[in-house]
Amino acid sequence: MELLFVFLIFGLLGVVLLSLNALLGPKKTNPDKEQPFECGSPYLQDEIKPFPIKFSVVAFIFLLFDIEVVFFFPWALVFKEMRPAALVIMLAYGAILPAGFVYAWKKGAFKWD
Amino acid sequence: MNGFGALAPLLIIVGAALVILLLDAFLKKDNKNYLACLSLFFLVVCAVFCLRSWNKNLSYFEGQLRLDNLALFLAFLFLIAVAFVMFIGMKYLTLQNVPGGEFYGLLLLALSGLMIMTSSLNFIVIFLGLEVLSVSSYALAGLKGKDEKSSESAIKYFLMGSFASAFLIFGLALLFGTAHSLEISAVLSSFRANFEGQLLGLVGLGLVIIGFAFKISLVPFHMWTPDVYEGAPTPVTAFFAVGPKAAGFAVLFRILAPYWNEGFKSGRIFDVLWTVAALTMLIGSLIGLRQKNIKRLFAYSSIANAGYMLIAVLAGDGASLIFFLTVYLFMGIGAFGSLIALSKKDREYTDLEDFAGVGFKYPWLGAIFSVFLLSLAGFPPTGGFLAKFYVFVGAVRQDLTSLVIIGVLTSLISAFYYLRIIVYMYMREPERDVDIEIENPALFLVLFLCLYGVLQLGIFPGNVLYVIRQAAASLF
Amino acid sequence: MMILLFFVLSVICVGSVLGMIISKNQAYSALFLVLAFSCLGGLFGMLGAPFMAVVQIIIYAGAIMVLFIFVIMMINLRKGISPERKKWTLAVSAVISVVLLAELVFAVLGTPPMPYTAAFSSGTSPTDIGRLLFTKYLYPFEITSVLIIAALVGAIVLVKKREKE
Repeated sequence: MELLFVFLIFGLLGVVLLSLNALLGPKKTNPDKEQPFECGSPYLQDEIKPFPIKFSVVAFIFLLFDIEVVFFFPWALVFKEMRPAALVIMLAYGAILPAGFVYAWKKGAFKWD
Repeated sequence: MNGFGALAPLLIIVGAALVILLLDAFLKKDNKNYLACLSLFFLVVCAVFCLRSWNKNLSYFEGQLRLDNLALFLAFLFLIAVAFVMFIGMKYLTLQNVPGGEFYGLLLLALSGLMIMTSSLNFIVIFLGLEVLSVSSYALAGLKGKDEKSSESAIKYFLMGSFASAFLIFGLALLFGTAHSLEISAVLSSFRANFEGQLLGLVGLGLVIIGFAFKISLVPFHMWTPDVYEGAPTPVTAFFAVGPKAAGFAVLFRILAPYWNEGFKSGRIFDVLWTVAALTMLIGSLIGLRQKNIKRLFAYSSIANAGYMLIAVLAGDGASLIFFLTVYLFMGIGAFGSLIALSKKDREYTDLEDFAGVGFKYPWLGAIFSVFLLSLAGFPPTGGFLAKFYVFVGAVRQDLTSLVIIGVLTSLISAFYYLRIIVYMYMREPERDVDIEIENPALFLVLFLCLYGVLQLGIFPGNVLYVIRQAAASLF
Repeated sequence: MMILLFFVLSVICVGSVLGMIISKNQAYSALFLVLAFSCLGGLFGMLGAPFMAVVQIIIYAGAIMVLFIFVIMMINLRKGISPERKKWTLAVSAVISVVLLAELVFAVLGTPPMPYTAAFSSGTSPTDIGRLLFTKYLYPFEITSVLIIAALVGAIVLVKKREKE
């Protein structure tokens, strides 16, 4: 039930914040105003330049470690009641994690140039 | 029956993969051959563990990991296949600019996926094993540096593979909904017990089969095969042709053989698969006729062979299926190995025209390659003949005669394209200059072993058949 | 109350998935997908699976969408150029999807509702999930770590290969 309230409150908050601006804000506009903000100077290019692929590998590594870490939450909850086994389980699971991390590091996945 | 020993083979392989990857990352040596030797050492240790568990029926994790004889035999096949692929890769890696550490590491990870898949009777575990295999395979397909086709094949394989996984997991959700369990036996008994509940389960089972059909390239789901086979580095293609296919068929057999025994042999799934088998054989052999690129041709050949294997699944004939897979391992890797032998720095010879006159220029290689081609075409006294023979005989006993007739006809058609390569090698004047760069002892060792395997299985299959019967018997 | 909430969430969810497919701008598509994932999270929460609900938000709406946005930025497809489509493929795929939908609806209607008991008796709180995960589903759980390392190695090797060129 608490979860329901969390979803309701934050969902409504998002909707309210988005719609309040359109409701209350002044709507005087002209084409110049609609341009992307570029410190007053006319903008140089039409769209976003392609991002370097490095960003995506960082995002990917983040995603993978995110998935791993999600499992730590239920683990922490049951840690007390199954203490010796839980430790071994997480060690086995976690042993692979740092190996991947070291591999990524050594291969230069975190290097920028 | 419990034992940590059941986990040992898998642990060794995963550990080996980590060691190889980390060693490669830390040492940064140019010559990667030491990694192949190290991997081979781990593979041998794993094989010893597999041999020692034979007939012991070890299981662990409440039976989710089950090392029955079938799993052990297949694990043994996979170990051989991966060892062969590593050896034929040694020459290729240096010549074609493929990163070595990742090649060996990912192969070992893919191997662990194969072993997870085939050593379980639980759908979740099978699915995860399949994903480990697939994810490593996507990367393996794209390993070749500076090659558009290799990248294309990785992307294509990835998209199609994810699509297939989506089907599979949707099917699993429906099966779980009807059976409240993902053990294969529980799912099948829910089919028996709950006759009205079948419809949703039937859709689920169908979706699961579709997921596997993608991986083993049965016909409506075969589109990716030629492109991926063509673009991927050749040793990786050899692995794709042998490993995932064997594992996919083994799992399909584990699901379907008990299903047929439950009395669903005249059911809808059977009829659909019957049609799929016929289409697979027809398309694989007819479209193969038009291929000028040998790697694409082998892709269609592997599609056609999937059709023959599906006959064995339909007949519920485990021994023939495993025998076919064993023979296919030797002839498949042998054929792709011969292709690798015909390559030099940054250049692979894969057009049919390149093979003109090769038989006289390199008599040994030509002769060995011809034997593999004859075996693929199914001529006696090679293993390919016996494999098809057993499958067809087993199918006739199960009243699948019309399917067998289609099988025999398509074998005749596909014999034409295998023989055409031999004709090019021995009866055409060479038009292009084909020269091999390095004589690689590891590659020739593998070719020789494959040749031995194909002939041994074709002439004296007795011992191997005895072991295979034991393995197949563990199913029921 | 609950049934109302269910309909609101599912309508938004299906609608935003439709919006994702129809929208020509990939960035909008990605945002529609976030909305769909959030609604799915809400639906999981209503089913009494709070852990799944939060994971849905954190992993799908959070991490996976970051990856999506990066990929969209990286490829930078120009607006308005839609891939060439042949009319007949559109028709064929429409027919096939309708058949698939009909098949699924038929299958669901033809199956009597299952008793909501045995499999779910163990509860759905995060603690229960932890208990199940580390006893009954221990083996699949450990396999996921192998899966993750395979994905990691694959991603790094493919990206590194591109950079060398």
